[in-house]
Parts: sequence; structure tokens; C-alpha cells
Amino acid sequence: MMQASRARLFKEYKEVQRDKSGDSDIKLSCDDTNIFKWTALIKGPSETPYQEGVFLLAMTVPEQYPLVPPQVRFVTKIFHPNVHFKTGEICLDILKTAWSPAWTLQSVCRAIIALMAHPEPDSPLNCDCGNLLRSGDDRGYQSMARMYTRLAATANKGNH
Amino acid sequence: MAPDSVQMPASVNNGPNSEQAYEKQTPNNSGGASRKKKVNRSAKLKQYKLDARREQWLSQGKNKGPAKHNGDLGPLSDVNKVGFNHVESTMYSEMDSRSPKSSIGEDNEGSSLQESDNEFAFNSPQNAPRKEANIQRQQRPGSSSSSCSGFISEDEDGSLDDWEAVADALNLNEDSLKLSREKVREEIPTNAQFQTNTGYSTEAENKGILKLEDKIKPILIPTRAGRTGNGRAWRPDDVSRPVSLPSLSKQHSFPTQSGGLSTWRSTNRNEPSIPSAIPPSCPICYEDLDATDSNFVPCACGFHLCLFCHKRIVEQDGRCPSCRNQYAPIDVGINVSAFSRLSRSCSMISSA
Repeated sequence: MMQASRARLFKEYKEVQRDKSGDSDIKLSCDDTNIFKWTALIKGPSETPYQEGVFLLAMTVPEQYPLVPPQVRFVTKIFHPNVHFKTGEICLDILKTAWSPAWTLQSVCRAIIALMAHPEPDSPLNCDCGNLLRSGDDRGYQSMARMYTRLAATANKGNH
Repeated sequence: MAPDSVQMPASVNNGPNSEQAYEKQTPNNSGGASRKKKVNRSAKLKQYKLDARREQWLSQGKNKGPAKHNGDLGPLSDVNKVGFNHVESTMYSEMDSRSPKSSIGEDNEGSSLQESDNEFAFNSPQNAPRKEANIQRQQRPGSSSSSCSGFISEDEDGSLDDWEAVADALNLNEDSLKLSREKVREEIPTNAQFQTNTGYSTEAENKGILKLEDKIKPILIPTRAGRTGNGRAWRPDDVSRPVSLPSLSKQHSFPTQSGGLSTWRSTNRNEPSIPSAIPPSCPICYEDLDATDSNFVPCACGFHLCLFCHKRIVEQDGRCPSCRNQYAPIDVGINVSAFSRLSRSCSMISSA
């Protein structure tokens, strides 16, 4: 079992190495010593309050992978209704019930980018953020999210 | 001088000689303008030659007899001495004796002859589009396992001269080699799509297209379909495509929906895509699909996966990774021909 997940992860790793230049929104990398620990840097999608931000994701891959989904959380602080503000836990169906073994770490990252662009305020992990959106205060949500993107996810915090 | 007599000694050493002979032929064959074309297409032509030559070797694998060698390849190695027109006529007369003279457009039983003819005609760019269609048609009739053994025998033979050149095209993208290998084994009818991806120029084009499309729809156009690209049941923009189906990314790098491409590719585009073309590797564990796996389609949606992964999934939640429907209780969807293929592919592995 573990062997299978290891083999698959190794192939995903090779795939990532090969496509490195291809997908500039996602930089997946694997822990040097543990192939079950991955990190990903994803760019905030444009025309969202997260644009120009770079967000770090930590991925822990279970031994039953790919039959069970990887555990993914935001390391970079993000103000988003479906991401827990403190823990970075992500509420995303494909990371829970809707997972399919045909998904990969790369496609998970893409799904997360899609989630950033399309928040689901009706199943919030960040209730404050969800309430802003549900009450129709889009401007409030936008500015809060943009602020946290500047604070936490932008490299040049006013240094330049 | 009767060309038949010359053929005999040179015929055994067929690989590099015949290839070189063709290259030299080209100027005779094509005018100045088409020569330019040829430069542009050289990468593609390389691939075509590779394929044609594979078929050629394949057919040799089928008919090991020395007499057959003479018949197939003798005239080709002789081109330099005899001159182009003469050789052509010899070739055709050879063909006449062996099989109906059906050089270009028709399906031909004597596949070996047809292939040598094919390689021949590839060197004249005017024929290229038509030839492409022809080659696609050819691959279907060939028996899958025998084509495999043909490919292997290629490796074993000493004709490395050509292969170094061809390998230049392939080394960059070892997967493309893999793909073509798989392609031969599985007789994927849309293999021309793979071919188009192996040339340098087309690859570059495709990357551009990929990026562009990513910008247009940044949502959920996931990863990893590099290999499974052809294994799709739906186009990404297909209306009937289930929402839950994880879309697999590199479909976009295939030329199907991109504009501004050369004519021969657009002929591919118009071809009906086969609903469940077999991916070269299991989308779950990424191990190569063997013949048994390739014939194993446990779900009505046509999603291919290996038996091993299927078993693991059935033991857990038992839903198809693609359409998320519950798998039916295990049926052994393996027919007799699959078994015979399996045994042959085993013998192939042991001989390799």
C-alpha cells in the first residue's frame, strides 16, 4: 500500500520537475527527505483581492494516497471564507468527500486557486469573512482580503 | 543491369542504407519551394520516418525469412547506384509481383510493402498530408503484440546510425518515445496527435497555446494529463462532460482546439475522437497499462485504470474515479484475445 503511494508520488514528482516551466502559477516541491511532505507556492488569481500574493501551502500525503486525499492547509495567512484564519485549514469538497484518485497534487493546487477566485460563503470556516460576503458587503470583503494579502502574502512589504 | 541482381547482396543490411538512400532522393523528388517546406517539416518528417521504419521492422519481425528481406528492402538500398526513376519502377514491379499495386490511398494487405512505399513517399512533401492519413490507417490492421516485438527487434539490431539521429528528436522528450511505443502496442487510432507533439516546433507552439488557454480559463484545468491526455472521454469544453470529472490538463497541449496550425494537423482535428482511447499508463498509480489492463474497462464511462488500482478502489469506496458512480460488482472483462496478447507481451518482456 505504502509502496504504491510512494511510487505514485515519485512519478508526480518527476512530472513536476519536467513541467517546471509550464505552470507558473504553481510551484510544487517535495521535502528533501520525506516524499509524503510537500509544499506548494501558488499565486493569487488575478482580478481577486489575492492577486499579487504568493501563498504557501503545506501538503501532507497519507499513505493510502491516492485513494484518500492529501491534507492541505494554508501556511500563509489568508482572509477567505473557506479557509480557517488561524489554522489555514481549507474547506474544499475535493479534499474531503469529492476526492477522486485521478486527481493529483498539482490538480489540488489548481482547485485551491479556483476556490480563491470563487469563495463559497455558505460553508465558511472563516465566519467573519463569510458573514461579510453573505451580508453583501463585497467591498468590505475585498478590502480585508486585499489587506491580508499585502500583509502576509506579498514579499516586498514596503521595503522597496 | 538488372536491378534484381543487384538487390541480393545489399539487401540484408537494410536499416541505415535505405534511410540514406531516401534522403538523397529527396532533391530529385521535390522542387525548390517544396524543399523549403521540407526544412520546416524536417522534425515531423523525422517522426514519420521513424514510424514508417518501425512498421517496416515490424513487418520483418513477422516474416523472418531472408527471402522476404530481399523483397522488401533490396531495391531501397540500391537507390544510389541505379537512380531514382529506375528504382521506383523496380519497386513497383516488385510490389506487383507480391501484392496488388495499391501504393497510396488504399488499405493494403501486404503491409510491409506498403510501408516501404510509405517511407518512400514521405520524402516528397507534397504527399505528406495524404500519407499521414494512410499511416494512421495502417496501424490499425497490424496486430498489437507483433508490433511490439517488431519494435524490440529494432533495438536489438545493429542499425544504430539512424537511430542516433532519430534519438535526437526523441531524447528530449523521452515520454514521446514511450507514447509512440504504447501507441503501437495499443493501436490507438488517434496516434497522429501524439506524433504532432513530438516535433520541436509543434511542441513550442503547443506550449504557447497552453499558456494562452490557461489564462482564458484559470479554473480547474488540472495537471497531469501529460500521458493521459488521449485517454479522455470528453473534451474539456464538451457540454455533455460531467462536472465532477477531474479534468486532466495537458489535453490542452494537444492540437485539437488550436487554430493557426498547418494543414496536415487540421486534418487530425477533424477526425472523430475515439471516445475511450487507451491511456498509456494508469491514471491512478501511473504504472504502465499492460495489455490486460488496456482491455479492462470496469465502468461505463470508459475510464481506464489498472486492475490493481481497481481492486483497491473497490475495496474502499468503490466509486469510479472519473464519473464517481459506484462500480458494478467485479466482472472479469477480459476476453480471449486479451489473454493471448498478454502472453505475447510477456514473452516480449523476457526477450528484451
